[in-house]
Amino acid sequence: MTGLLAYAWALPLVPLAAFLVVLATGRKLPRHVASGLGIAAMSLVFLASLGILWAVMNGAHYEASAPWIHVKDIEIEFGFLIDPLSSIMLVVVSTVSMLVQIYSLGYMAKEERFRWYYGAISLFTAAMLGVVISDGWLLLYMCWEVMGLASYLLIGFWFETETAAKAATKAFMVTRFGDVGFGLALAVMWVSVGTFTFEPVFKLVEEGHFAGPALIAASLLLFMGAMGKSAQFPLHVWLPDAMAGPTPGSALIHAATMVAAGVYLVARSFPLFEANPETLTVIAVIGLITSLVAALTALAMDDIKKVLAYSTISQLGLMMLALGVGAWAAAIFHLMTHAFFKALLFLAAGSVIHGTHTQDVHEMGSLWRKMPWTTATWVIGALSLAGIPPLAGFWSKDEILLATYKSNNMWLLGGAMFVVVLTAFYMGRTTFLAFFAKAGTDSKSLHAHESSPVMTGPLVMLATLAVVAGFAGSPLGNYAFGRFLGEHAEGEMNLALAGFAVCAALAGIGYAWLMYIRGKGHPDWYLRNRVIAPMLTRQFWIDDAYMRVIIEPSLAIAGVMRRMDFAVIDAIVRAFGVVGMFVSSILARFDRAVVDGAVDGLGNSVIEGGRQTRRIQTGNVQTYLLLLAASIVVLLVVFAR
Amino acid sequence: MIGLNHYLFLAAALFSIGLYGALTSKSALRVVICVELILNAVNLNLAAFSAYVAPTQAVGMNFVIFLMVVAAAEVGLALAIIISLNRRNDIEAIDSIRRLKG
Amino acid sequence: MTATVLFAFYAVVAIAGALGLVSANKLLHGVVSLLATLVAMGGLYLLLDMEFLAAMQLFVYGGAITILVLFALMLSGQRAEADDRAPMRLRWLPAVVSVGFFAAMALAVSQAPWQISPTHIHDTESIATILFSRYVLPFEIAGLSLTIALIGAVVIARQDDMAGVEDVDSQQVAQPAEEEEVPA
Repeated sequence: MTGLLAYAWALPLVPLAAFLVVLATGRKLPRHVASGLGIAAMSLVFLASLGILWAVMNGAHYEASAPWIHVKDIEIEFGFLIDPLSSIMLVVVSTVSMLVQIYSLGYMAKEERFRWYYGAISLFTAAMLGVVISDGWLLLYMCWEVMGLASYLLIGFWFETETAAKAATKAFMVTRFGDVGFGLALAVMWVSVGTFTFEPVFKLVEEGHFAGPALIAASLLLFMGAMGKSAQFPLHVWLPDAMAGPTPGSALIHAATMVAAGVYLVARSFPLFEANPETLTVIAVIGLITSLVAALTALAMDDIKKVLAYSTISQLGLMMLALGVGAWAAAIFHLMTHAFFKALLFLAAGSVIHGTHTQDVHEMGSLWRKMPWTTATWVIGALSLAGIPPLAGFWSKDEILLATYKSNNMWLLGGAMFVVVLTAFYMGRTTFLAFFAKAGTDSKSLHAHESSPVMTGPLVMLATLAVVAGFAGSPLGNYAFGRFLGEHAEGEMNLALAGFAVCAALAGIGYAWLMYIRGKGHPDWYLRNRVIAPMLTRQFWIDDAYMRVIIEPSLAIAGVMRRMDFAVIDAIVRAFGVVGMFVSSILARFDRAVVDGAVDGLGNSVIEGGRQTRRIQTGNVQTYLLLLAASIVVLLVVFAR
Repeated sequence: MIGLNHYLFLAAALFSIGLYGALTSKSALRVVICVELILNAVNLNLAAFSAYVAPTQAVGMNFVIFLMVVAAAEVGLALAIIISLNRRNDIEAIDSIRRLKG
Repeated sequence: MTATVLFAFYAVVAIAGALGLVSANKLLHGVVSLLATLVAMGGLYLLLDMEFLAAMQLFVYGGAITILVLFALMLSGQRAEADDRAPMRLRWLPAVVSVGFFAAMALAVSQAPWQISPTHIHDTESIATILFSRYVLPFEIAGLSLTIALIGAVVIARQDDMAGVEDVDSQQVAQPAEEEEVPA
């Protein structure tokens, strides 16, 4: 197995090859071959990553690099790194990608651009794999960007619709804005330490050679990049709109993997942040704010996918909070469990949409009768998300709460608890409204049907993972997860805290049950409250602020530029044209007068000369005689000398 | 004393006068007559040379005789041509015959 | 002494006669003055001791040729009163050329070193001797050319109601003198 590690660099290339094949062959490729390639590629990677995980768990570690740019004194290398963190990420990414692709066989079966979908999914997976195994920030950044491209392609998959096209552009622009920070971080790093590879930089930080404002700047700028990709406040606005893409794509990218890349980045770069604890505070605060804002907004959502989107943002905020209080292993733990149950929830939602042809929960109801498998798996995912033991989500969320508690910051802890309540509540609300509430007479649920096994199969798989994956980091698993990742502190559990959290979650679920099943307590009261409702429905006016502050001024400037271009630049071009014509007219006259004149003149002079010479031939004998005599005289005079 | 030079001058003068006349005549007849004058001047030249330079040989004089004969023949023919031209067309001016005009 | 005077006399007459010819308005007058010149020429021959030549001059030129010209004058239908000299404006160049010619000749003559040996000669005897011995062939040919000229003149001058006689020149002369186009 250890020998396999040396070839880990090839892992991203497998799905990349699948993508290239689809790109090259287009419609000539049979549909099943396109999907088969993708699934086969991912299965291969899945198995390989399991093998790698096994090897690393047994103590293997691999790092290799090759020189890339070598110009005078500048040497940049790129390579890959297999350590506990990257091996876990490999497994997570490949598992979810594989299951999503299997699921898509059913969900996207009627899609015209079936092949391109699989191609884009493969491209994305290749990039994500590249992100998790790269050994330095530069290579990570490059794969990061490719991920952004793949996200753009998938969000804008149905680019004929205006919503999808706009959403894709919005996602790209917002994340790109964050990526500017990432790029600047690279610049700072280059100027300060001259290398991009993790290990050397960490050493320099340890030794104190990389410190001070430069280090703070670099780490915060890296976080800015993470904010973009992981939808932290205020760069979270793209994620809800990204729901315009195909649901399985959303499951893969916007729930499980890509958005987690930001968390991964911070976790990987943790030594940089650790050196300046203020930066960690920033991360924690932003994480908490994000989490709260998103959770509150989720309360007002009727679209099942939008609920999940805001839920994702909220959970990502929690992961950032965990990182901010120093518990990076807990953050990665939650990342893993979240990947599984969020992907599950998205795919289940897709199943629901597929069956009922609507996304509005108010048009559903009593789905449990018609779609039992979907309902069951959804419920498991929802409970896991809410943090109900013994499901996976409980264990990972609890770790985060524990770390927050240990940080002795009551604001953070209180906020996190509130998020727990809200999460349970809105998930309960959505679940009850969609699956258990009595369906109305015109509900779409009446004609719903359960999805095919090719879709429900992955649901079951993910549900299983949503149950068992948590045990690795629990007391039952001896906190193996944390230790595996290198945490030295002994894992522990604060039963009081855990109990309090569970009660909070149950309270949230109970309140939702009362409201939506029993009909008590004025369901959706907050949507009618004059103070709260606007905040929620306008997503705290973030989008409006963006519009007023950034977008409208940009468009205005663009308009000005355009007018200037017409007036000035076109005028210059036209002037050139006029000048050119003027010059050419002069040249034409010159050509006609001088050049033609010379040529014609030459010809004319010859003709004229002939005409004049002709006058001697008068035909008159006396003329000839005269000339004769004159010539004789001349000759006499000349030769008489 | 009368020397060769005198005769030669005289002959040259007569020649020149005849030349002038030939060049400034409108009618062909006049030209022919002036040509006669020219020929006479030539005769005189020859005779003078014969007398002063080679008196024992009669070559010059022979030449003069031949020249006279030829002149006579030529005059006859020229006049015949002129007469026939005039008879046909009443042409007076010689310079209206210009077939050689180029 | 006498020779000088006679020479001067004959020379003057000859020149005068020539000038009279070229300056006469009417050709008839010109022919008459030419006669004077021809006779003076005969005199000049006499001064050179060439009696035969003088006689020939008087007979041929002064007699036959003058009469011939007069006959041609009368028969040509030319109006004898017409002025057939070139207009004044065209006379300058021939004048220049003539004068130039005379000047050139005079110059040449005056500068040449002639070998002179004037002696008395008997020309008739000499001519006869030479003519019938050495130059008998030219003599015969001269006679032949005279004959030809005679026949030719008759042919040319006769009336042309004979068929088949072409007069090439009449075609050209029949057209009024017109400017021909410059051949391209």
